[in-house]
Amino acid sequence: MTISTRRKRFNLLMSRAKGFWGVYKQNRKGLFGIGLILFFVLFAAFGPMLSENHPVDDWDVGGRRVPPAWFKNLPGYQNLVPNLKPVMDVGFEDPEALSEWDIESSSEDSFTVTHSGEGYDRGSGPGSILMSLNRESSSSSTADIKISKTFSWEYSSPPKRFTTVLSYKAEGLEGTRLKLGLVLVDAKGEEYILWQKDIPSDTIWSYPEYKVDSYSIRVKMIFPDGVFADPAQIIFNGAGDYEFYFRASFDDIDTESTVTTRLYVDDLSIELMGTCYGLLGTDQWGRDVYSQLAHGAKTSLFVGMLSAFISVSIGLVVGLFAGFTGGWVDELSMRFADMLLVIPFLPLLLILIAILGQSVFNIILVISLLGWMGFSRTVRSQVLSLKERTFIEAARAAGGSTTHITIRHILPNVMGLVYVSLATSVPGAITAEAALSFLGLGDPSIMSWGQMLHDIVYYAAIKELYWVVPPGLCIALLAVSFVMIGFSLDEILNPRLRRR
Amino acid sequence: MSLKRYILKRILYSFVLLFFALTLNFIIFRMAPGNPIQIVASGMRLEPEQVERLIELWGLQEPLHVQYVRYLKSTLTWDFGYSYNSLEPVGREIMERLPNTLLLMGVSLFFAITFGTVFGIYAAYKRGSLFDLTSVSISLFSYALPTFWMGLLMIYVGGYVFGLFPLAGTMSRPPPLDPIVRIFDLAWHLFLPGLTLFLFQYGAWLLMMRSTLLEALHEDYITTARAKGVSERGVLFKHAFRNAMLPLVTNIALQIPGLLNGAILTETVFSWRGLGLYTWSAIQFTDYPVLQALFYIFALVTIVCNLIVDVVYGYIDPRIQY
Repeated sequence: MTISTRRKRFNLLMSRAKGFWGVYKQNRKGLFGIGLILFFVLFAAFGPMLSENHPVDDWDVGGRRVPPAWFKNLPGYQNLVPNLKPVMDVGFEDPEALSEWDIESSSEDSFTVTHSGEGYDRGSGPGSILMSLNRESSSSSTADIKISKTFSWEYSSPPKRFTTVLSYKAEGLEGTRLKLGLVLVDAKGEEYILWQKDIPSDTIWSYPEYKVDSYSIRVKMIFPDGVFADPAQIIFNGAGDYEFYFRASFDDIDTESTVTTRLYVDDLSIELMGTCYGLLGTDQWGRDVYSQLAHGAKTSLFVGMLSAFISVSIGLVVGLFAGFTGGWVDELSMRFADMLLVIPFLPLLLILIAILGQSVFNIILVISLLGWMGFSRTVRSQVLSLKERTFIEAARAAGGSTTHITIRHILPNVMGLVYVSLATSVPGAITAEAALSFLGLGDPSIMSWGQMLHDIVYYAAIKELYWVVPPGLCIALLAVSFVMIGFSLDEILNPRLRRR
Repeated sequence: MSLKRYILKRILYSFVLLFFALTLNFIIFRMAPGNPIQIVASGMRLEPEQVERLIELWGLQEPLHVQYVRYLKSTLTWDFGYSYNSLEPVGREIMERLPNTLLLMGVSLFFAITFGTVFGIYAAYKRGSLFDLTSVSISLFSYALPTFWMGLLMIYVGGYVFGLFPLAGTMSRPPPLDPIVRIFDLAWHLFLPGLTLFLFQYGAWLLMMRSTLLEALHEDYITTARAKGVSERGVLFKHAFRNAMLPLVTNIALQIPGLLNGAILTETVFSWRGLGLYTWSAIQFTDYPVLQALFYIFALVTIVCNLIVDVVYGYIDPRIQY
């Protein structure tokens, strides 16, 4: 093929495409469908980028099962609290960081509080508060220290959950008893000792884990209601100034000892998880619903379009072959299609996925292997009627082989059906995948809209409309848009089949 | 070919289909991972003699073709073995649940056909009007809505917001003793799942009725009727509707497999104690005998429906070629 013929072909193709678009844009249904699909494609492509949260693995990005932030504007939701970090982890990178904290200590000469270059490096980098008790000079060596920060809480309702972080390292504990504690003081001056610990001997950094978590049993047991208590609700009982402090007491047990006791403290912070989060709130485990929806769009489009493509291809090949060959090939393949058609689709799908394993590729495979029968019958009947036309007779008289006739003359005449069937098979595949995931047979490593609805039922969250409405609405809209495109393509490409 | 021969041929063909479904069923569950003894005895420590005894009891030591023949025989005699989960006979459990599923499907199908036909005729009668446009778009949308999501919204609106209907179940616990109260209780529980399954089918029926009627209105005999001076209403009901009845009848059978899919999802959402919920729970427990039996029954229902329609078609359509 020379370059000029290639260019001519390309130009012909372009002009035909332009002509087709000219007709297509007259069709309101079709434009609506295209617009909706474009929206979902863009959403699937760029939506996940707008949220850095992983839809499955990132737990506790906010409070668990909280509505979206914009619910603040609705009646009955005015008191929503966002995620807050009232006491930031400053990392104590330089000596000035110390000045941001109020430090009260017993005024012993032997006790000093300074900045140290050493720190919990994996946390916030080098730097920490160093408290050292020098017991060489003085005989009585006890000291108390309180490192505190006051923050104002302007909300009348409590946060969903709070956590505090602390990492520490102690050296030279021979003959000294060291007591650590984390305390929160509410606006009325009530003190809550959230965590305390006696340290016998400890020379490595403690992991900066959640020392205090209002969801943990250990913290709940501080309160009279025990496991039924909600510490966040009890402590944050009104607006006002709250104080968060760390305290340590050094007690001399063995006066003979002359070792210098050192305590390093790093990563001291408190984090409040609010009662609202992001665009669409959070699910049972504090995962971002928006991020799940965006990743679900990717899954649905991928599964829907790929399964439709595979099943239509199978249907096309079987239909062409059966229609053109005729005889026992035709009989056998159509009877086989009949048999698959009488087997109820969803039970077979469920059983096959339960047996083959829950992966997205198995889902695509099974959906497409069970979806080709209807289309192959349509293609076959079209081929049977085309076979009798004169232009096929002419092609055969001119010496065209069966393959040549099928590809050059029959195939172009059934392409209209193929495009329509491609569009109308997608909704079926999308709802099949959603149904599978809804019944708990989806791919557990991938988030899909059906999976979201499954979680809603599993965790009895039907009342959480911000979580219930988006996935179902998306499934319905995406399905409708493909149906619309199918209808309008049908009207344009197969005008002879249209009688309305 | 006479009508008798045609019907006989359809019946024979149905048996072939049934045989195919049975074979597929056998193959699928042979492919399934894990042998039955592992599943039943999970958590128990069995002695080798016990395992041997079980293998002998289930005939697992026999060659595949012998097992296959025995499977065919037992399935056709409604003997599905014992559930791995409850250790009850599967046949009995299925017979307990079958009426509930039939009730749900039957009631919703009846109302879907009635309302779909009535509104479909009216939409075709008033074609192009606002009523036509809205009912077509509503049907399209309800057709595309995922059944299970619709069920969730029903529970939210009917169960929580208005508090009119129970959230789940088939009957109150304990079930009322008085038979009349019992029927009302059942109907009260049936309302939401029935409505969900009704909406699942309603759109399709309306669209189909409307389009077949419009198609029929283009036929020559309609032009003749109009030329004779028959009123538009007479044309619609006496001429067009009677001929549009045929596809309606076929469609009932074609809808059954889809209706089964809808019933499985609806029953799961509403914990309606029928075969759909049973399928779901059997999958949760990898209860293979139950799944095998259910699969057979679903295929049987579909095949029987197809056969009935073929036979009815043979009787009512004089144009059919045997």
